[in-house]
Amino acid sequence: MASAHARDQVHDIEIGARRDGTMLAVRDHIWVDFGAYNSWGIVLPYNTVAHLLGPHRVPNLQVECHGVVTNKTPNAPYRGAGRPEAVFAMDRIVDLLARELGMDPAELRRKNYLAAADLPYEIDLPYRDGNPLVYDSGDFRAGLEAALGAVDYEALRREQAELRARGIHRGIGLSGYVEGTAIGPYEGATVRMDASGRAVVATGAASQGQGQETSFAQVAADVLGIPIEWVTVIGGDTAAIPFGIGTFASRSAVNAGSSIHVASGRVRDKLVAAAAALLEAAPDDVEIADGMASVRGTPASAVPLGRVIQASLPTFARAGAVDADFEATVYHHQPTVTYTSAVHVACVEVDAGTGAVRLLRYLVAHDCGRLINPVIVEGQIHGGVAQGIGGGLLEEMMYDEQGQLLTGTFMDYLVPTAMEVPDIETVHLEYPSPRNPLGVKGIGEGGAISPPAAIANAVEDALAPFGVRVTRAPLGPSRVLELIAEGAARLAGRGGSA
Amino acid sequence: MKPAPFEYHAARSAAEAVEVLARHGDAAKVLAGGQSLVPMLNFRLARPGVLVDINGAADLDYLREADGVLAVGALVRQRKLERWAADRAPLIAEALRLVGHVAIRNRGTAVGNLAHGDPASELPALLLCLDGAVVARRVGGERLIAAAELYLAPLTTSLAADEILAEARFTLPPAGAGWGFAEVARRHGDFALAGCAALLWLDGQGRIAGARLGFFGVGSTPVRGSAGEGLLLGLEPTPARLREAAQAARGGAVPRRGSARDGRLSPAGRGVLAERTLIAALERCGSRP
Repeated sequence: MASAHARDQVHDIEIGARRDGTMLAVRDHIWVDFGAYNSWGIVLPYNTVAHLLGPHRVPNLQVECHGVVTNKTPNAPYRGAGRPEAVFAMDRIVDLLARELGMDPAELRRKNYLAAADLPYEIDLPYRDGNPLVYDSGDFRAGLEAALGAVDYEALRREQAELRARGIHRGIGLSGYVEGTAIGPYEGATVRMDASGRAVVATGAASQGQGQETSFAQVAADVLGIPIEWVTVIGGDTAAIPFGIGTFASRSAVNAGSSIHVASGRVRDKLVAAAAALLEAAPDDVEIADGMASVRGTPASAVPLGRVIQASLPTFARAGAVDADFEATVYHHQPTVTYTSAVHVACVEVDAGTGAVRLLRYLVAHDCGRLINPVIVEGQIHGGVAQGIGGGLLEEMMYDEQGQLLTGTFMDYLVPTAMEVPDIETVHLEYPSPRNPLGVKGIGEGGAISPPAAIANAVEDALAPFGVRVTRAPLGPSRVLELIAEGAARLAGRGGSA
Repeated sequence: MKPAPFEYHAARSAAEAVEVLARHGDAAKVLAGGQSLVPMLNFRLARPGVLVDINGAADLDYLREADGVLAVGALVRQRKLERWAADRAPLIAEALRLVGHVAIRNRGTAVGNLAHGDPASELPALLLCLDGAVVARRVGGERLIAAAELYLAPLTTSLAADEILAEARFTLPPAGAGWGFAEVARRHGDFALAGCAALLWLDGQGRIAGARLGFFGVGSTPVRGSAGEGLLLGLEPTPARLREAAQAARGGAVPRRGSARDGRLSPAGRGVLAERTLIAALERCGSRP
């Protein structure tokens, strides 16, 4: 609790639109609480600004951002790094616009989300890496439709109306984001074979538990034509590869994965040349699969890759068939980020008597380009969404009037447990990235970006009859009861009409 | 963190436990399931010089029902009581289901929970609602402390330093009584922000013959909703009366809690809980409690 905090921002945001819902302009004034030391420069505010418009087509944007140094614990980038705050502000104002216009919030998004035909799409603003901010691939409207279809949005709305008539308050909340992932400028990989045909992959991007040993091994095994269990992945060892950057910013699959992909291809070329010499065939006729090299159309010629490698080693009788070099090192250059996107749907039931919010359902329709390993991608989404649910409902750094941190242990700083996280449904859309040879995009952080916004939208939607307006997270029971009381006052001020 | 050093006694009987307590008094704490005490030791919020472990005191492991009173010995695990109560005293079972998680209840004892005296815990309020009492034993004697006399302040009971809370006695509701139980917690298994237990039973004419409300998480001790109970006795149970009783019973001030803003439920929220438990109790009236 004393290391670093995150997510402390205040937005004063406005949106301009035509009566038909066409968005015209967004103006935002942001205050970012840096805490006592600004050790990260403008990383967080810049990320917030760069991700503010997300999937929406908004031709005009004006943002003023103040970084404020306070006597609190310093802020640091944390899963999403400035994006959940931007998405919270934007998706809240979009829902308010829908209410103002009397439009369904899904319909308003449908009208303003960018589609595949709009891409590449440039937002007239450089990204943090100095390059133009250009959405490279995806179809945000298709993502929205996929999410709405998967939850059966129309049925949810009908159910909501029926239950509301019986005093049960359910709400549906949408949130969408477009996320620059996989910041460069590079990551490296060395791929080399041993004498038994097994491969070692070394990269500076070490696993933090994301399963990179599996997904990186898949990338190498696919190219090398060997079983995945023949690949050993080494992360973060300068004896194995001298240069590297590391695992953060949803960057390893793209940066390290691409290096591994290209380096494995070069090693494969060397294996093909060696097998061609051994089998006395043209390199173009050599096939490598399942750890065996063979001459196309002649299955009987198949020899284990280990044999191919061993044949290249000199003996007393003769030199090797080819140079015994089955190694390649590649430093993939990633000048700018590639854009992941998703639409999240949260379904909640709010107890208007006690303020308790129950998350009934959570769905993520997302595009992170080509999927290397769907299970790992889903794991990343699940973990991110769980953290986002924490931000939406439970987690809060609180201080008393004397500046004493009140949430200094996990007794008071509440993180969600398995009991608070519903089964998370996922829909995968694959719009390959044109910015790397694998076509992949980052997914490490995305899950955490939208839940606070989706949950806030769902809670406000559930409590629409009470005139509730949600402006901050997390939404604990006492805060929800306060919101209901404020809503009642607002409705009374308007003469009781909703 | 790890606990500060302490002297450890493994008592093999209640008599042995109270002997150790007699020698060490204030410096000693009794260890049963340890589900509250051990975390407090590890956080060093509690630093007793002596721990008296009663897990080996088999004479404290009993569950007896006689003459409408359920006697629970100090070693009875919450889970055992929960299972016993499932079809005999569903109010107790329902309350226990919300105490921590199964793994915690497998080890935690009902009496240990009562002795710990967290004002946001379910069981002390239940003891109050069920007109319960506890048996306090010391060397050479024992005394009965009514639930209403047991709790003085958060985590503070009227138990003397040389006494062990040997037994809890719950007065089981009369046949035909209905019950209700509700709480709001931030997460499953957390201490409640507030909660309420209710009992109602009717006479032959359908008028309320008995009403009980016990609140937790509303003050520095569990609170009996006497003001609301009094409004119901002898009257027909109408929704308006139940609401009025709930409002009267819910109390006013939101207790301070030195931590999260969302640490307590507002009086309005408490009133809602009380009303819901009374409605649930009324709906269950007539069936076996």
